[in-house]
Amino acid sequence: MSDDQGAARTESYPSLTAREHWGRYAVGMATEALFILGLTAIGFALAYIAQAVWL
Amino acid sequence: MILRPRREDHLVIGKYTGKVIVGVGLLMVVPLLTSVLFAEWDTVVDFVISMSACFIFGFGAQYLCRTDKDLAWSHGLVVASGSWIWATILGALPHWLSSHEGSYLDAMFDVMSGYTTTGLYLLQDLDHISNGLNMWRHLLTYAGGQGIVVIALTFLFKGTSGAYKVYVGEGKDERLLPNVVNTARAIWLVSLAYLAVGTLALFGVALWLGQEPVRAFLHAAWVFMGAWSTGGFAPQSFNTMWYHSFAYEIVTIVIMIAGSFNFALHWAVWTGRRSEIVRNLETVSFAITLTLTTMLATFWLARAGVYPDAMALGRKVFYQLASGHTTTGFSTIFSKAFVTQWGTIGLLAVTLAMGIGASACSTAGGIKGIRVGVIFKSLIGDVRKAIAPESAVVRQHYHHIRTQWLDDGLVKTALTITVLYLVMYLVSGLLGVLYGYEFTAALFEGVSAGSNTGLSCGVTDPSMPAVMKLSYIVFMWLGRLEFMSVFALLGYGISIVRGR
Repeated sequence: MSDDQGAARTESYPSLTAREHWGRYAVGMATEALFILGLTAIGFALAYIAQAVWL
Repeated sequence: MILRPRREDHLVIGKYTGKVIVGVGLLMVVPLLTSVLFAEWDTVVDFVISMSACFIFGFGAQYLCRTDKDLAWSHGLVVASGSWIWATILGALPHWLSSHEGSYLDAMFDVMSGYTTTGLYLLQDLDHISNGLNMWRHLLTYAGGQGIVVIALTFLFKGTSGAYKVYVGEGKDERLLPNVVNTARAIWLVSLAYLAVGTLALFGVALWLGQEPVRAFLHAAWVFMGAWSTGGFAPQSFNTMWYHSFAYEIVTIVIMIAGSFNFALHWAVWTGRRSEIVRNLETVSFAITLTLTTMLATFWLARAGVYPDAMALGRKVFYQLASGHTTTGFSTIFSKAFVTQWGTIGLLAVTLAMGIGASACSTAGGIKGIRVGVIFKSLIGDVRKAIAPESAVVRQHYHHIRTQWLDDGLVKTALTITVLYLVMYLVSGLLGVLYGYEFTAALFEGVSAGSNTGLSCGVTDPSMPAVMKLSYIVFMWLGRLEFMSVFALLGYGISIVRGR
């Protein structure tokens, strides 16, 4: 294997904690939080509907 | 014919069990340092004794069971389930030495509850235990959520080809990355990132609420561990109700639901496949069953007029249902309120949510959303087959990380595990009835133990009969390891006695 190939291989497998991944990880975490807050909003909407039905 | 295990089999199982127990001993360094920091010298002694016991057992087992043989599949299952027993027996030492437990059985109950991320506890005077012991309780759930074997995989099993077999034995059978050790590291990366962000968010809210900074930080770290691991332990006996804060509740909801997601889903979303969160069978199944059970409890409690307004109703119902469905066990109502205020339908809605549970390969317990989804998809497929022309070929598919065909083997496995869970839930309910508890309350508590949730309607108590304590320990263990590893351990025991 030539040195160039070795360098390319190192480049294609950066460490899981490499700084270049942080942005993607943050967006992933934010996506999950938004999904969960959406579910929470449904739960509260149900409460308002239920309260309106039984009042 | 049953084959009797050979000496080499015992050695390899003993060696790897020893490694896991050394990992448990190393974990005690964190509460030990916490106790040193707060000058809790009695607790320091408790942890020094407990660590010594773990190291003597762990290194002793590795020394006595020296072998170059690697793990086979059956060994992996036996090591996973056997390690949990030894880790419970030895991990209970700090609890027992603290004098806050009524008996060693109670201490083991609390430790198994921690490892299995259940959250039920028998510890007495929780509000006055040392910071070191509180750290140990929460660390148990955090480590248990990751899988105590994952810890050993990450730090102690480097490069062993048999490591994956123990990993599977602990109920986590998805590789996020081609290499199993990297998979374990990816799991840690997701968990530690959430640990940092989640603790900071809870710390900020606690400071805003007026909590003293050191206390706010400790509470934030502990509540995070309880939420993320879907363990449900909290530093106060009033659980998360103690904070009386809507903001604290919202943050814990986000953490506990995120903690209940499959690590493979986290990894997919974090590495750019964001639509996975709305396409994945597990999240779709979870969203539907959470909405349906919330709807059931909400309409029932609105009709009964238990809460004064929609905001209070939404806060209480969604929190308990999200907590139950993610199998966390955090609660913002008194245990007895499930019986006295929520009534039969409210209790059944939470029982149903707990029984289903959340995602596979996560920190959550229960039957799991993917199995519910697979069974439902299979049912739809059968209906489609019934109404399709005879010559038509009907095949169902589902999406989990990638689109996959639904085959009979998968459906059979999902049904088998589901039936095993249902039988366990029923047995736990009947056991409670035998000891004089009302059926719905006994079923609620039994499902809570078996699904590793930890919500209580008041049955779990230090005065509970010893047989029920022991049974709940077994239910928590069975539920967390999803039966197969425990059955493998039983089979191993039988083969020692009856094998040829």
